[in-house]
Amino acid sequence: MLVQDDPAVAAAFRSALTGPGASSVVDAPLLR
Amino acid sequence: MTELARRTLLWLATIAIGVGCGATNPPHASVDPPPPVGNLRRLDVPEAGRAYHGVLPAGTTEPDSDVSPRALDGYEQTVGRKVAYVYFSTDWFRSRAFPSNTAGWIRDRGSVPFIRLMMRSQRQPRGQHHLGAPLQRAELSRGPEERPRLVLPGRRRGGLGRHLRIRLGAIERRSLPDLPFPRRGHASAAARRHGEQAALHPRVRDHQQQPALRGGAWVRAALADLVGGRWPEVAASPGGRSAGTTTALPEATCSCRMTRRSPPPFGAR
Repeated sequence: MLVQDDPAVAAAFRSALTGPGASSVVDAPLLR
Repeated sequence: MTELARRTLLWLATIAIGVGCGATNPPHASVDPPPPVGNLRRLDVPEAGRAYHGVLPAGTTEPDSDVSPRALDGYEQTVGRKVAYVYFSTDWFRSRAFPSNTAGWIRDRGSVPFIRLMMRSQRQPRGQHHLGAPLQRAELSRGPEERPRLVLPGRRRGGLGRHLRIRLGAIERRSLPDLPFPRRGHASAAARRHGEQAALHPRVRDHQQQPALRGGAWVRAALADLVGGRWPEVAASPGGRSAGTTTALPEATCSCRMTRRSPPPFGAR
C-alpha cells in the first residue's frame, strides 16, 4: 500500500510533514 | 676469471632472474576501492533535531526493488514535501549491474539514491536470503534479534569459508575492518563445529568492540565490483551491525546506517 492510496494515512503524513514539526524535516540532501 | 668468481656471477645472475620473475605485481584485486575522484561533495548530517525525509516509492512488480517516478510524484504531491533520498533495493538474482537508470532519475530529481545491495541469489520467504554467486553456498538469515546472521555450510570447507577468508585477507591488508559480519556466538553450530570461522575473524570481533573504527570499504569494494568504475564516487558504510545496505551518491560520498532496529534515514558523515 502506498501512502497516497489511503486518505487517512496520507493526511497523517501531510500533517506531520507540513504541520508544526515541518521545520525538522530536511527534504533535500545537504552537500558540502 | 677464477672458477669461484664465475660461479658467483652465475649464482647472482640466477638469483636476479628468479627475483625478477617473481616480482611481478600481483593481479589487480577485485576488492580494490575505486580511485579517488576530485570535486566530491560529502553528504552532511542534518543539525540536531532534524532528519532527512526519504521514501520508497514502490512500483507494482516487486515489493522494494521496483520504484517509479510516478509513485514518487504521487507521494510528494500527497504529503506536500520533496524527499532528500529515495530508497530501493537492487537484487543480485536479477542483475549485478549497477542500477544506473533508477539511480540516475533519482539524482536528476535532486535526491539521493539510497540503494540496498541485496547479495542473494533468490528471494526467500520468512526473511531468509541467499547470497549470490560466488557466495551462493552461504545463507544469510535473521538472527534472534533480527540481526543479519551469516550461516556457513559446515560440510563444505572449500566453499564459502575459503572465499570469506580470501576476502578478509584482502581486507586486512588494507586495514579496513568495518564488516557487516556477526560477532562471535552468532554463527551456526555447524560453522563452529567445522571450523568455518571466517565470519568470526578476531579482527572483526575486535573492530566491533571499537566502534570508533570506521571503514565500510568491504561494501565499497563490493560496489566497485558492481559498478565497474562507472560510479567511482560510490561509498558506503554498513554502520556496524547492518548488512547489505549501501548508499550510492553520484555527487557525494557518504556513509549510511541501516539496521533493523533503527529507522532508515542515513547517518551521513
